[in-house]
Amino acid sequence: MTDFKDPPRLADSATDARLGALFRSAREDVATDQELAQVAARLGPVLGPAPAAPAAGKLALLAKVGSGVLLVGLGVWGVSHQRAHEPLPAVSAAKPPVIAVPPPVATEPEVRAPSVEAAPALPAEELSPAPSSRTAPSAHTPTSARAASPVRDEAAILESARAQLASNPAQALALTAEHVKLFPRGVLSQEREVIAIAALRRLGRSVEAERRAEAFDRSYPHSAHQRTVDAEPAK
Amino acid sequence: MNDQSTRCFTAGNTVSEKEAYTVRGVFDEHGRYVWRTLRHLGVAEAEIPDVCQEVFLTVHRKLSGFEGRSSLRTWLYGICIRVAADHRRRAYVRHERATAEPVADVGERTGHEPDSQVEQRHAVQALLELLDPEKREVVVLYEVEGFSMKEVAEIVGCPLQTAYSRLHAARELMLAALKRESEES
Repeated sequence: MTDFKDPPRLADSATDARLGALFRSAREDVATDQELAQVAARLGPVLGPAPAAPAAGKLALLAKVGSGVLLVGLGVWGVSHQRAHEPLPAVSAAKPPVIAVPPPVATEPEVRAPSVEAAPALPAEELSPAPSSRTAPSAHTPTSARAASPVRDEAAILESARAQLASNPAQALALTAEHVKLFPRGVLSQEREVIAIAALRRLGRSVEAERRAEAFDRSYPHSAHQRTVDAEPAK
Repeated sequence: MNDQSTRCFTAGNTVSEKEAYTVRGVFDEHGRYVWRTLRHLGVAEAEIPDVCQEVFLTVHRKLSGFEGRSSLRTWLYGICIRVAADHRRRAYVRHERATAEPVADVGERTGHEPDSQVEQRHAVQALLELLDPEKREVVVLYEVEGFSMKEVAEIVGCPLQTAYSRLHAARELMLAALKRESEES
């Protein structure tokens, strides 16, 4: 789809020999296999098939909750090696993340306040992690070192929340509230909201669920998760 | 992998043809070029993995909504441009440079024939640093990535004539810098 009126490109023309040589070298300056593998490893299952087949019970749950939650799980794992920036207590990387959840009585008010108010108010442009928590390790810490950092990060919290959705939606909801507190501008804010809305629906809190779903629609009008959020009407 | 989340239909094809893109497919085909683009747009080397990941996470989220009104490549590079611009803004807010290392004067970088890939890269970066972000985007998309100017205008979201103007002005700036350097050396 080349416009014939377009001028010759510098790399192909004799406008200036040095300029031409520089832009020819720029064209060849693509990522190495190693650099590409680095990004692929961070994206994880987002790029490929699901990491492991879930157990039968979990499969049934996922079918009930909707395909979007599976997507959330994959997205969560996709960045699970990236986000270890917040100063959180360490958890062994060899074990599944264990998130301490306060008792339901204590958590209920907390769950509603920050998650309903704060999360949907965040504009889609601010989904990236806070600059201060993102750049310092990027600039100075080798990727391998970051990958070995404590894993109780935003991805781990949401993965735990997703895993709790079937058996303990209240706990799943509490975990999303914890995510709001710890990562108000987290990169997985959309995924958090999908889990929170599903949890509210499973708890029978349909009014809150629909209010939150509407807020999600307003905040992320072009989100691929929208059909998931809208798919399961309040009961 | 959820099909709805990772697939969309190719530009110009009907849904019935069932030819679908996957995030993996997009990454495999375009990943190394996305990396190159981010580098030339001024993302610091150390931050390219982060920003590249952000690009493909956005692809992951939005691919199912891709309607094929533009080519997939145009759509993807639109994401690149926006993510890189967001990155630049965050760097500006932090009062930090968006590049990993200081870029020397263009004369210092291009005063002799660069004889290694790294020197060539630095020389290109020095030239691109002369340009404001709008001009830089046009130059990178047209001169390096090989888009037509019509596609460039679509990606950066400006009228075609404006894109031509930016390209022309950018070329003048780069040529002037090289000429100045030649006269001084």
